[in-house]
Amino acid sequence: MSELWDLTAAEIVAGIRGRELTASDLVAALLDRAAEVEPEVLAWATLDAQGAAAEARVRDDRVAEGVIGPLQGVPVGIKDIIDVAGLPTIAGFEPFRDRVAERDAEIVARLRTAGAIILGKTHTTQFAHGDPAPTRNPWNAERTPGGSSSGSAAAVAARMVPLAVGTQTAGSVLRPAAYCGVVGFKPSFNWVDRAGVLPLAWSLDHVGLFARTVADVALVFGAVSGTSLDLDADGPAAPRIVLLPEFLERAEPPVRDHLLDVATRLREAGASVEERSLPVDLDVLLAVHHVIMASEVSAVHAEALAADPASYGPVIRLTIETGQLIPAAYLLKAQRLRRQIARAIDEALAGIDGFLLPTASNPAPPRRSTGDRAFQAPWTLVGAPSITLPTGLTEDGLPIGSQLVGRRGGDARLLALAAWSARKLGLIAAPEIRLPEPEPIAEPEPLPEEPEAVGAGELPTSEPVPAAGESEASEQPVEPTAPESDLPASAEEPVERPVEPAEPTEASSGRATAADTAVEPFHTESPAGGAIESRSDVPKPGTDLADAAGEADQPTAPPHPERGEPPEGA
Amino acid sequence: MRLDPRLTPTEIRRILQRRAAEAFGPMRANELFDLVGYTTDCLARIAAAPLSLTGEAPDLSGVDAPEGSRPS
Repeated sequence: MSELWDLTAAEIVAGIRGRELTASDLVAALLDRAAEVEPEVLAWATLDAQGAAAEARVRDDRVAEGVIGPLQGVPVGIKDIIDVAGLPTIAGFEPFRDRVAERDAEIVARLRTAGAIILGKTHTTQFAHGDPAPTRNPWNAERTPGGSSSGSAAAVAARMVPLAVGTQTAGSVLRPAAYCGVVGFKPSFNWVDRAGVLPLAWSLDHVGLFARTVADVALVFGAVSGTSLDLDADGPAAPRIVLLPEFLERAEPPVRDHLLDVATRLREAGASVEERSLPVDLDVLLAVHHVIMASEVSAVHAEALAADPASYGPVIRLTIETGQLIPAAYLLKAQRLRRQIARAIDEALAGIDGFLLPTASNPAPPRRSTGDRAFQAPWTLVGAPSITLPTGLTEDGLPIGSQLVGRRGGDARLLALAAWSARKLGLIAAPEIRLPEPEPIAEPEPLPEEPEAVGAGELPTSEPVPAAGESEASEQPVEPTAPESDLPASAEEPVERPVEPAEPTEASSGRATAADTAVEPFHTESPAGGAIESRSDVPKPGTDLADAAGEADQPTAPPHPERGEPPEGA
Repeated sequence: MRLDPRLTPTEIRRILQRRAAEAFGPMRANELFDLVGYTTDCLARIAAAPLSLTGEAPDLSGVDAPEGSRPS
């Protein structure tokens, strides 16, 4: 059996069913793993070691009684805008540090009912918008993990937890999943009640899931929604897929080349992949999303911002203020167009299994940004299910995601298509995390006799302990809220664009070779006989939080309105 | 600001920038300049998009709908 912390959710449930492992041992192994890698990743806002251990004991007792739920003993990380009873919901907003939830959000309650264990709360950008979280990308500490569900994606990629929950209002599940090289699934709108989830924009907020395999997101989706799924039986024999050229034209060359290679390999595997344009103008679609989102974010936050402007991050503050300038007639016309767009996309998806496009226009950019939402927001606008698969790596060793989109309500069909595609394409391995070299241990000098003191390791821990990154972050001086552009990542980061298009390579195309180094086999979705690569380089030692905060406040380049791209974040 | 496809982006921007200065002061309006520019572009596209008088009603997106039953 693999290391316990390396097990997928499906493997955990199988192990617990077979009485081969206990939830208590599993939680202990994941906490050990977190103690090792969390200082490099900073994924957790609150790691509830004691609560998770206690919940694991309860789960083990239930197994002894013969009660085994569909997620029995599976530890889960919860984005820190979602309430977990007894833990604070900080949402990246300092005044909420002591805002302890009295009850579980609906999604959390359903996870527990299915037998899951809540390991803790994962870092989010402030209120799930665009101000970067402290989290680092496990593939490269200088790159963003994406946002807003930064900690959820990074915790799964770093194998501190097999499953995590996030939210998406524009691209906040799929984009961080793609940047961190994991599977991210945003089901159809309203698939689960959002009670207990802090809103960002009511009509756009979706709860989403992170895991390392399609089977795992399907497992948790089925358990929470009550949907019966059989990925093999529901899977298409010869999927019909439409490749969307609008997004290829806007993608950076390594991403575009990789997606074209993915399309070729899917064709070779038996799929019909036809190139066809969206039935709507993408720029109008993105304009509608921006106007609705900015208006709703303003309606949620304007009064709180007026009362406490210093506590708001610069990016969300820009959106709240600009959203208040949008006239009602424009908002209502945007909502009329939204319905028209959703119907047109429904019709385009009728008779096919899904759209194929890159998950993001670029690999993970530097940490001052959370990335470009333009490739994920269209499906959030219309409430259609979308999923990202980690199908390749750039020459620099950054993950590239391939996105599949299904028809509204067609979640099971989309998951079946994703499972089929993952089997044919293979998924990249999880990253190695480079840990700091241990300090040489000096001979201790004899200490003078003094009264017994309480050491750090002996502190009472009945209360949930904020994770290392959280306490570190809280000690940082508050940065002035200098203006930062809430603009397309492509406009902000010209240095990230390659000067010349990269030639497709084995690595950038996602084709694995046995010559690739640092192999850490991914579990269940490797194509038969195909070695699955891991990156050959490893993250640099992390930049500290002060650097990240400083980067976040740097002025940015002017926009490219002619491209009609939306702002970053969320 | 009137909803009118004949409004140019320049006119929309001037109106929004003036409203920003009135609401948040001239200094802050200047800081909002880039995002107001992007929003201007979005509003111009929305104004220009054709919809018939009897066409789609606003999509209120199922906020109050039972879970799993988003209206289409």
